[in-house]
Amino acid sequence: MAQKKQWPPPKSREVGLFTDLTLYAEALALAQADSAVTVFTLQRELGQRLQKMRLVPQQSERTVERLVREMRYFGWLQPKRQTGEKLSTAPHIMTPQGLEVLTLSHRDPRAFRRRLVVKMQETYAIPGWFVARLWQINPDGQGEVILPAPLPDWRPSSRSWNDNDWSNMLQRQTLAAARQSRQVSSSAFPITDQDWLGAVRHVWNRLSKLQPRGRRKVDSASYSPRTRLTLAMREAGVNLLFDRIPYGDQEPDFPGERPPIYLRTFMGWCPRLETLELIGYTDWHPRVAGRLLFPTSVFRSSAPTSQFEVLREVQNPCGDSLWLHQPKWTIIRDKFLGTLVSVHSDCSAQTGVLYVSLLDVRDEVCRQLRLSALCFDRFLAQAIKDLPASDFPWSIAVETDIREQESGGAGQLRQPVYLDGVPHTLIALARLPQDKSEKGASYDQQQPSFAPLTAGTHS
Amino acid sequence: MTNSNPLLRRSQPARIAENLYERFELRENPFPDSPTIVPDSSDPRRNGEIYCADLRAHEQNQFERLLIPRMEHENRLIALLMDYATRRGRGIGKTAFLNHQRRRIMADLGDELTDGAYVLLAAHLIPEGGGRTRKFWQFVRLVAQTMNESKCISWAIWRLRAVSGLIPDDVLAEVDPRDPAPTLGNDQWLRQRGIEVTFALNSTVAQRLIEAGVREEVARSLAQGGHAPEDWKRQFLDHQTDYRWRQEGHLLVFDDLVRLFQAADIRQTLLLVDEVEKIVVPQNRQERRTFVDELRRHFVDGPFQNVYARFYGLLLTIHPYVQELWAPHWQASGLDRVCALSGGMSEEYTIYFNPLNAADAAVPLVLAYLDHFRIIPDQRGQLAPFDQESVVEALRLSGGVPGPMLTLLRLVLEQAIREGWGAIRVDQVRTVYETAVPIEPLEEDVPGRLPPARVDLIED
Repeated sequence: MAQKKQWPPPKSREVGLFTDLTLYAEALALAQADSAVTVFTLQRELGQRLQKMRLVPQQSERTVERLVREMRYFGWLQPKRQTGEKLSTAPHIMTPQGLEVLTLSHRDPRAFRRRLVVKMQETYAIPGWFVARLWQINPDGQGEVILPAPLPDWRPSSRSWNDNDWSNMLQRQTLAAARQSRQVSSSAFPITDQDWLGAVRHVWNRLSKLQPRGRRKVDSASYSPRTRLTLAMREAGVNLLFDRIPYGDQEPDFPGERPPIYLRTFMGWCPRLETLELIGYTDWHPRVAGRLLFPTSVFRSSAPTSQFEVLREVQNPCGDSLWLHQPKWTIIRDKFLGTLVSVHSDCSAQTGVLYVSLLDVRDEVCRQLRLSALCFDRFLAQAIKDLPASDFPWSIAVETDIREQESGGAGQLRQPVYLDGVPHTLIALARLPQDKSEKGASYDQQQPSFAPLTAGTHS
Repeated sequence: MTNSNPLLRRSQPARIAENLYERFELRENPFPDSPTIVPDSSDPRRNGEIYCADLRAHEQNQFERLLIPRMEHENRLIALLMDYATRRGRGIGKTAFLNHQRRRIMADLGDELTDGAYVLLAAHLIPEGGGRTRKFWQFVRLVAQTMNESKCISWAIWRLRAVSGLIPDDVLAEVDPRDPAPTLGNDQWLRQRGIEVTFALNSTVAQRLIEAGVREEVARSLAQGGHAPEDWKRQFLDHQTDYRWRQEGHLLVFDDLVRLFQAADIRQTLLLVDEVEKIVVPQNRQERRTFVDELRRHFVDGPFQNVYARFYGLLLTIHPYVQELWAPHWQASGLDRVCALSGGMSEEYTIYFNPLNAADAAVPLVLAYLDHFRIIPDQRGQLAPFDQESVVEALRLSGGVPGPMLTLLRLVLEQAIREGWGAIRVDQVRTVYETAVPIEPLEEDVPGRLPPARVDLIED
């Protein structure tokens, strides 16, 4: 039997866990303007920005350090003096490659993102591997994967720090979470109950042995069982599904013994890969307790360019290139509009209101069509721009109102939909009345040029 | 009062509403709108007055075997009532069961249950949630308050008054032995019959208690106000600070009150503790250990009159989660030798409460409620407007749990009134079940399957 081909070992594991990829271009621009930058000057001069729904007035020193380190790995920045000075204080200048990338970021943001994918793949090996792993976990389900979390109606009260025994209640919640994941998507969580339970319990016990943070004393400290179990499940899920050896397999993907990613880096890679349009994911799907991930790219030997964009520099161990699902509007239009109507209808029926969360609609449309969030924003803008359309008798209204559940806490972590640079969070679709001149045909009997597709229809 | 000044306008008497349920031969909707037991309620649907004992005959036999003292065998000091239907939601009938047992015992002070051998009392304790009964002293306070509210203490004082020698036989003959509250519990009534209450009767009772070993302060307070729960609560219980409960509450309950009951020739008081999870779940590990140790000390082997006399019988209502929380502490304290919480021997100390079998239980349960509200007594025993199939289906849809079933049937009857149904059959029950908002969740929500992807990134 031929030995399984492996991914090349990463050149570095010190991935910067910041998720705002606009920092690269802005840091390079500052390096160009100031001729040299340090971590301190960058931190001072990098502007405040809206990250998801949260205003970040200034980047932390650690984030900027990681940014600088990463750009050094990419070859876009280099130390001004080769004196071995500490990264946190050393002045850095832009390299010729950095200047080229900066120019690219202004001229063609999409091409800049593609360049980032290539650089990250060269440095860390994770982007391509992550996509391949999703497909490996669930090949029949188009790479859809769920990492379960406790069900939303389980709200236990706080416990004393020492009261941390693994109980039947925790076991029930753990199994219920797994069961629900399989109910919503049968192949998206292929872990057996036994393995799942063992892994979650192992992490729970590890977390239980930690000391409380800060100066809290053990006797007076307390913790939230829900928070701890959520963390335990997430770590267990990452350990089981994203280990160097695929679940249920024997051969590792990487040489060596270290896992490719840990929970902390997993949480940093997901938003990065989403911004780079390699995957989509959501923690807020109304039917899923946990994180739902799906690839918006695939390794293939070839693919129609009307629907895919290739990155030949990113290859899997078998030599297939990475193809990003980037359909042209003319190809995807009917399917996009049909799915949009269908998903909005479902959301509206569940909530009982016409204006529903645009973020929920986006997440589900992207999941069904395996589109990136950026694609969705682009297509929605195009759909609105094309209105009124004779073959699409619907009105689309979008609003920027912030619902109560999205105004604080976890709600701030969701990326809004950007239309013309303005964030939007609500959407309403309404069917327009038919033209009265069409005699003999009632409103309900007329068929538009497209119809909401039934589930399971492929192009 | 004149009618011209609106400030002095008087309320008009309530109009007699039309009885919508008359066409079903019912005085009103016989099913409760909230099937939880509220013992002090005047509504028979809610205070436990309506109760179908046949449904839990087996459990009742177990209760009597474990907790009722008999000449031929001793009862258990501690026993358990295990709720095995928690995953089906609330409403299995534990509180109704305990309330019914308390009523049986208090109806004749255990005369029928013990074949006249012993005098028994019973109190049904429901702990406060939110961690307010976490500590043992808080539990002790609950015991004292509940025994007072349940008239256990009053019964003891009434009996002491009756045997004091200061009440003539002809006056005693006027006392209803099933309810002495209006007579022996009423100082005014006694004074009207020439009894010197304050300086003679109360003094005699107090002296009797002091001689029995009750602390003087407690003895005098009991003698003066113990005959009326409200009086003793106002004069004594309400004045006890948390500090006193912590320091001396256990002496009051496990020494003084036991001596009171013994002086009144009462053999045993059963403490029926409901919803033990309200005590256990909010506790941390240390508190659970301490609580269980205190249980052992005050009920099994501590230096208290209760232990010497084996006076209180304790029934704890638990479910599997509580069992699991308590198990290590129960064993560590040695209580498993007195009452096995888990393992093979636990059956000797446990009453098991399982969901009802719909086919067997539905009809008698529904008849108990219908019969109570029949306009014509001859109609009793009839299921109309329901039939057997519809009530069995209602209990089956409710997972064998009576609480949700009663709620469902109430909604069905209301719908029958609105829709003008003549009879209620299975289809109508199912219709209402599918449209009614379930008050008691039976199973966790099962989300629908996600639609599959509409594209194929491999083949497209």
